Amino acid sequence: MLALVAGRALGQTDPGKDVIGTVTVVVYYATNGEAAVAGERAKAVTEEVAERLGREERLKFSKYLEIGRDTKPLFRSYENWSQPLPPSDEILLRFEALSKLSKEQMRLDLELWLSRKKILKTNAAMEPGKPLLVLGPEWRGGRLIISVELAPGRPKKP
Amino acid sequence: MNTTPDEELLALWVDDALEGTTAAEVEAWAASRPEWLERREQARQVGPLLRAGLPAVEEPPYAEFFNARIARELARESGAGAVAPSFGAPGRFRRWFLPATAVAGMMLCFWAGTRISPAPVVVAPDPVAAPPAPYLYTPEKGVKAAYFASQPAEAMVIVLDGVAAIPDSFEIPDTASVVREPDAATAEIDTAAP
Repeated sequence: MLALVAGRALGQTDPGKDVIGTVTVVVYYATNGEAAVAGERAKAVTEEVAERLGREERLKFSKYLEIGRDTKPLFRSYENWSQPLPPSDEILLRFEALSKLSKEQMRLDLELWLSRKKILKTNAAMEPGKPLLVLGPEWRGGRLIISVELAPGRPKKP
Repeated sequence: MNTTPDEELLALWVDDALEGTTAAEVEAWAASRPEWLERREQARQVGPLLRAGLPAVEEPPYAEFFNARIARELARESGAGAVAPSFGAPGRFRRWFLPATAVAGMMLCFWAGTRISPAPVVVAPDPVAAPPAPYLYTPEKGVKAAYFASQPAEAMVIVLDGVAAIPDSFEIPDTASVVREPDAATAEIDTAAP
C-alpha cells in the first residue's frame, strides 16, 4: 500500500509525464485490385480520407480500407509506442517529442518498426491536421499506408 | 615713416589704392624694403590679368526675384506701405509663375513617386513557417526512403522502397480498426476542444 502511494505521488510530481499531445496512427490498405482480399475485419474509409489520399499521385489507388488504428499520449520527456494492430507487433511506431517549433508545430522523433525490425527513423515536424503518410510494405497485392498525426492535448487537471 | 604700417595700409599700397600723404609715407617706408617693392610689382602684373578674366560685376541668379523679395520685406518692416522696387517690378504673370511652377513640380514628383513600384524583395524563408525537411534513416539494407511535402494531400509523405512485404498469411487482428481510448494506465488525456 505504501509503495502504491509513493509511486502515485512520484508519478504526479514528474513533469516529464505531462501529456503534451496525442499521436494517432492509422494503417490503411490501398489497392487497385480486389479489396475483399483484406478480409472482413477491414473497414471502409470515409470519403474525405479516400479523396485526400487520392489527391497525391504517389498514394493514388482505387480503393482504401482501414485495418488498424491507435491513439497514444505524447509525453513531455518520455518515449511512447503505438500498436495499431494489437496484439500483433507487425507494425509498431515509437515516438518521442524532440522540440517545439511553434504553438502547434512540434518536431517528433519517429521510428517505424515492421516485423520487429526498425525500418525508418525520422524527425518530422508534425502539426495538427497535417499527417505524415508513409507508403509502406506490400500486402496481398496492395500497399499499406501508415498515417501518423499529431493532435493537441494537455494534462488533465487534478 | 619709421614705424611699420599696418597690414591694411600695406595691402592697399600693394594694390596702388593709396593716395596723398598716406601713400607717400608708405612709399618711403617700403623704399628700403625690396621684398615689398617686389610684392607690389607682382600685384601690378597679376592685376590686369585677373581683371581681364573675371567680369567686373557678377549678377546673382534670379536677381529680380530676390531683390523684389528683399524690397517687400524692407517695406513691411518699415511700415511704409508698398514700396515699388526700383529694379523693375515683375508683371502679374511673373509674380505667380514661380510659385505655381514650384507647386506643379511638387505635384509631378509626388505623382511620379506613386507610379514607381518597389523592386521585389527576396525574403529568406521563415524557419518556423517552413521547417527543413526531416532526416531519413533506413537501417535495413536495401530499404530507401524519399520525403516530400504533398500540397494536394496537405500532408508530408515518405515513400519506402525495398521494404520486405508483409506475408499474405498475416491476418488482421480482431482489434484492428477499433477506436480505442488511450491506455489510462499511462496517462490521462484531456484533448483540446475542436
